[in-house]
Formats: sequence, C-alpha cells, structure tokens
Amino acid sequence: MPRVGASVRSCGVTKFPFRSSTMANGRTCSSTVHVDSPKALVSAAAGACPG
Amino acid sequence: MRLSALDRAMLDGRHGEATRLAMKVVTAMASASEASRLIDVASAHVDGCLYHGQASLDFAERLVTGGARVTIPTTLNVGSVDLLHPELYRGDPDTADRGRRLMDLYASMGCRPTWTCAPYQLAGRPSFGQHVAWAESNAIVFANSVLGARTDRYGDFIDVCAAITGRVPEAGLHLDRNRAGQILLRLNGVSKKLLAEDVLFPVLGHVVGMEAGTMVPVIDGLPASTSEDQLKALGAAAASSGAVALFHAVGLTPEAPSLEEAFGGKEPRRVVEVTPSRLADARDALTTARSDHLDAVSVGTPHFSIDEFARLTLLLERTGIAPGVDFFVSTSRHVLAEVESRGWLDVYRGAGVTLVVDTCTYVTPILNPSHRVVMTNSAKWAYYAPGNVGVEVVFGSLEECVRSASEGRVRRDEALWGGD
Repeated sequence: MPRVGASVRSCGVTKFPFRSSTMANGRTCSSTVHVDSPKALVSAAAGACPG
Repeated sequence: MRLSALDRAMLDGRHGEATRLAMKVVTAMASASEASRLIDVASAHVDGCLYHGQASLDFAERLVTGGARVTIPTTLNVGSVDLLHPELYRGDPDTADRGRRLMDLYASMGCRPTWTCAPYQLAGRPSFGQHVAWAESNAIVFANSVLGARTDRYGDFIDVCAAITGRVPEAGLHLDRNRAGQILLRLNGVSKKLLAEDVLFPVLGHVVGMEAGTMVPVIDGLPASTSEDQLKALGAAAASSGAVALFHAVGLTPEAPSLEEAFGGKEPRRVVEVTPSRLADARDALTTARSDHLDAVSVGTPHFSIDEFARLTLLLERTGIAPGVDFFVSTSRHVLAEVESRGWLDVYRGAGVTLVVDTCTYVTPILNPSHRVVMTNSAKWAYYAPGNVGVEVVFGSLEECVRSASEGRVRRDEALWGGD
C-alpha cells in the first residue's frame, strides 16, 4: 500500500506553526502558545478575543 | 487486579492529587473491563479538549489545579475554536471563550497543541504492535487498522487519565484475542471504475459500520492501489455508522495478509455480500436534501491531508466557485503550513475557499446560519452534521463537490454507481 500524505515525512518531530498568512489578526487568539503557569489558567479571566 | 508498585504509588497520591485522580479513573475502568492488570502506553491522543459543557471544564480545571502533567507524548484532538482564525466562529461568544479556555487547559498539561482529528498525519506516529491510548473514533480505527498499533476505544476523561499515568487496562483491542475478524464483507460485482474512485471508500465504510456494529469487520476485494486517505475515509465512516474500532482489509492492512489470518483461523460469524446496489443505497442514505439547491460545501472530515489538498488544488485551478456558495476545508495547522510552503494558498484565496484549522465545521458554529444545504465528500460529516449543526446534507465525491460549487447547484454522477 502506498504511504501517502504528510505522515511520510521522515523527520522525527513535527513543529506546530502558531502563525499563518491566513490569520486575520496576525496573532493567535489563545494563551496556548505561551503558557507560563498552568494553574494560573484556572483562575484567569477568559481572554477577549473576537468570538 | 494486580497493580505495580508505581501504579499503587500513583493511586495513593504519592505523585500528586491529579495523578491520584487519574489513576483512580484508570483502575475503575480496568475493573469495569475486567482487566487483570494495567499496561504501559507509548503515547496518547486526547479528545477531551472539545468543549461539551461545564463538565468538560470542571474536569480539566480539577486536573490542572492538582498539578497534572502528561507523562507520555500526547497529541490533542480538535477544539471548539479555530485559534488561528477565531473570527470564523459564529456562535455564542461565552461558549467560544469556554472552548478556548478548555483548549488552553489541556495544552497547559503538556499536551502538544496539534488540534487535529488526524494525528496519524503527524510525524512520529505509532508503530506496528505498539500500545497507545487514543481517543477520537476515526483516529482509533486508523491506528488499529492501518498502522497496526493497539488502542482500545478511549473517550473524554479516560484519555487524559491515560496520558497522565501512562497506563491503561489490559483489555479490549490491546489483546490478541480481540483483534481477529468476526464478520466478512465481500465486494461483489463492484466495477473497476468505482473501485478506483475515492468516493467508494466512505460509502463502503458506511455499509461496514452498519453491518459490523461493534464487531471487527474483514473487507475482501479492495484493490492493491488503495491509499491511506481512502482507508482513512473508510474507517471514519465505519466508526460513525457503527462502533468499529478495528477493521482488516485483506492484502492491505498489516494484520490481514490473507483472509485466514484476518480471521485468526476462525470462521466469520456472518458474510455480507457488498453489491453495487447495496453501495448505491448507502450513498443515497448519506444524503438528506431532496433538491439540487446548494448553499455550501465542506470537506476535510477527518482533516484534509496534503495529498487531498494536492488534488483539490488542481480542481480549483480549473474552475471557480459560484457566488453565494461557501466552500470550507477543515485541516490541521501543520498541513496548512505545508499548503503555504508549497505555494498553493493563492489558489484558495483566489477561489474564496475558507480554510479551517484546529476544529471542524460539524462540531462548532462556523457555517453561515442562514445556509440550509451543505455538500460534503465525508460520510462522517454527512452522518453527524444534520444533528449537530442542523443542516440538510448532500453526499458526493470531491470532484462532485467542486463541480457543484462551481455551478451553484448539486451535480452528481449517477452512472458511477452501477455494476460491471
């Protein structure tokens, strides 16, 4: 069976892009990419990104 | 049940409160499945990051407050919000905030922010025979069937508990005895032309799920040219219309080099002849709309692969999309990045196609609420979207989806579904 798709990449690690030229605001709308204190998330107020 | 010293230490709280809670859930699951012990898993894929209500947040917040960290490589399934394109969300802002917050909580536990239902498209996917704890039905069936890895059907909450403890019950599809085929589906009289078409596979998967239910199906008669994307579509459909977590395709999938080996030397409980008329009926059952009216097209369930983008790019280079028709493609961030790097984005911008990442159009409000009829090439999308997002659906091939979008009304090739 042919091995097709992105899964054939031989590199061991896939980097997950946090920017794209398709983004309207030029930035991601989440603290996902820069979590410093996991526990702080529980008490932090929700962000004010466009819904 | 026999627990290792490490299992007991986790259960006793010596590794923190979150680990204690996670091990409590894992051992309760082991009792329910009558497992005699727990086993290690090499990786996890977590589905609990999709917001389903307050319980989703409560559980994740309790884990994070208790200091939860995953101990094995863990990928994340789709969330409620496209974090790169949050402006696509058309629902209640408070629900969006909760969904985004849930995604952040799971990422904060050390899960990789992959946000894809197709983790098998990432590098470092499981190897043959490797035990893993994957959630998301299409990912489960792909891991078991196409990769030959071993996972039971894990769902929300148990998935992250497995990721935190690195342990699961030795039960279900982790065991040799539960992986043998039980029901045979034999392709009978299906034309070579249809066997070569992508659209066969989601339709066949729909039949497989309806017939197999919770059994392990064996499919005989698929061509050697069958691709991973075709098996992806087959498995996703079978895991939607049925509870299929493992299928064998004779001569194609790793545990089915022959019909006899697929059944582990036993006889099938039942044999189903899959005829052209049966496939045509299944294809019709995936359509609820009764006219040629079309509002939108949605493809990419499961998430579009780079090879699927290659085909769609060629199709869209030849034609445009009619005014008034929306066209969505759901995919992952890393495949989107690959699309960008190959210089294909201009084709999609030019055609007015909306690329959706991190989520999927049938689990969250992204479609225009005034749109009533949506066409898809995914049997899974066709199965769930009417109930989830309240639309009428038309099922067709990728080519039919593009042609329909171009002409502004549903166009399908009826001749394809006849026999030889």
